[in-house]
Amino acid sequence: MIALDIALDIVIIALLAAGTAFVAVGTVGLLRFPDLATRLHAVAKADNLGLGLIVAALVVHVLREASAPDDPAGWGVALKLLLIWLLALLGTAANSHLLAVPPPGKTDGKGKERGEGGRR
Amino acid sequence: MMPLLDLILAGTVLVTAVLAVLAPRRDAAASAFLIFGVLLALLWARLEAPDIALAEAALGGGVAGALLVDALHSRRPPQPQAASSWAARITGAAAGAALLAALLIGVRAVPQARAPLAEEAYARIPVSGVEHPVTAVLLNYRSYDTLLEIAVLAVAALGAAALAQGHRPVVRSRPAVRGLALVLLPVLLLLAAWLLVAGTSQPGGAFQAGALLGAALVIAHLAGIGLARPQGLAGLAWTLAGLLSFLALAAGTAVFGAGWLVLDPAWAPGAILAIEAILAVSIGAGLALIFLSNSASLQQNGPAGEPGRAAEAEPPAGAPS
Repeated sequence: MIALDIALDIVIIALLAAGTAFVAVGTVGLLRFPDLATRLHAVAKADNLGLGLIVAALVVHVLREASAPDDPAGWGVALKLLLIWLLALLGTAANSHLLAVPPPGKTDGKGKERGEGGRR
Repeated sequence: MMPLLDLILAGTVLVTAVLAVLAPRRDAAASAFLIFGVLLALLWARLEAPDIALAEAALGGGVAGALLVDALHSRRPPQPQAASSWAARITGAAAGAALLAALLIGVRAVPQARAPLAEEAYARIPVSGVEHPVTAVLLNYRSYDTLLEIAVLAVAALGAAALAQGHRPVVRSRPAVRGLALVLLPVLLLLAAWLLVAGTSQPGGAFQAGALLGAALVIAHLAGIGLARPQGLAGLAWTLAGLLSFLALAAGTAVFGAGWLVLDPAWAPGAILAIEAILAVSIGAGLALIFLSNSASLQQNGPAGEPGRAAEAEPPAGAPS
């Protein structure tokens, strides 16, 4: 049992470290990349993956802490965590699309409007 | 470990607060203020005040965010102002320091021991009709305060509606917005209903549920889903329903019961849940009414030649949507 505990600890720590690393890299991209499209590209993908890894770590932790392997309470929390990740995925995708593509009727063919709006 | 995390959290809250005030650009200041709201909610959660954390997250992240972004979109940036004089800055800093000192002295004067009020609140929970002490305080022991708070919100919504010039038209939204809203709305409504019912036994209640409902109504409007738009007479009726039912309950207890808002333990649970349900709908309608009214007047008064939200909201008839 102790060996299993240590193994799970290592899994959780590895997932958390990878997740925070991806979020950090995404933030670096947001700060360093030159324009809107590349910044969105960096933040949306890296943050989604980072959040997913962190959620995976929390799911492992929650399921381990549950008193029994098939404890419904533990699975309930795990499902809620997954739902949070899915909603965040959807929100990021929609937000990035809205920021990147000018709305119909507003485009001038070069996306200039949005570019200026971002720096106002 | 935890004190370090708390220190980082508190420090970040301070930094975002300063940024929200000092950032030269309005979009940066608004973003800082919204992040400040989210971090503040986390801070409340760390202070073991989940009720306030939920309310702050729903209000600060939801409705306040919508109002701020709307204002950013619809108004031209202000002309650069002349820098304020040094005398004004020094006076402001001195006044702020004096206020801080007064607050610190006041906080230190409060006795450290647990106030007897908390003990009393816990002791009387069996006869309050609910199991959660915060809800017991809000809707039983101190329901008069809650009644007045609801009155303040109703007056604010009435004022916003009175200033609005015409209704905000139904927007035709982009498919991405609509798709996101169609997924988010059921989740938000379920969460609001759960918070409302859970409020009797654990953190949650009418204010948190109402704030979520208001956010859901705003999202529905922005996505062009015109199912429930609290505007016009119907909107006013929904907004005032909570205040009027609360007043009716107060008058009923005064005439037929033991006194103003004195709830009999026999029917207190049902009465509290019913009044909370009406309050939640009313709070949601009121918050959404404030948003819709604000947008309506912004749209009409917006400077000419600035397409802003109006162009985004109403694509030409031929445009693909």
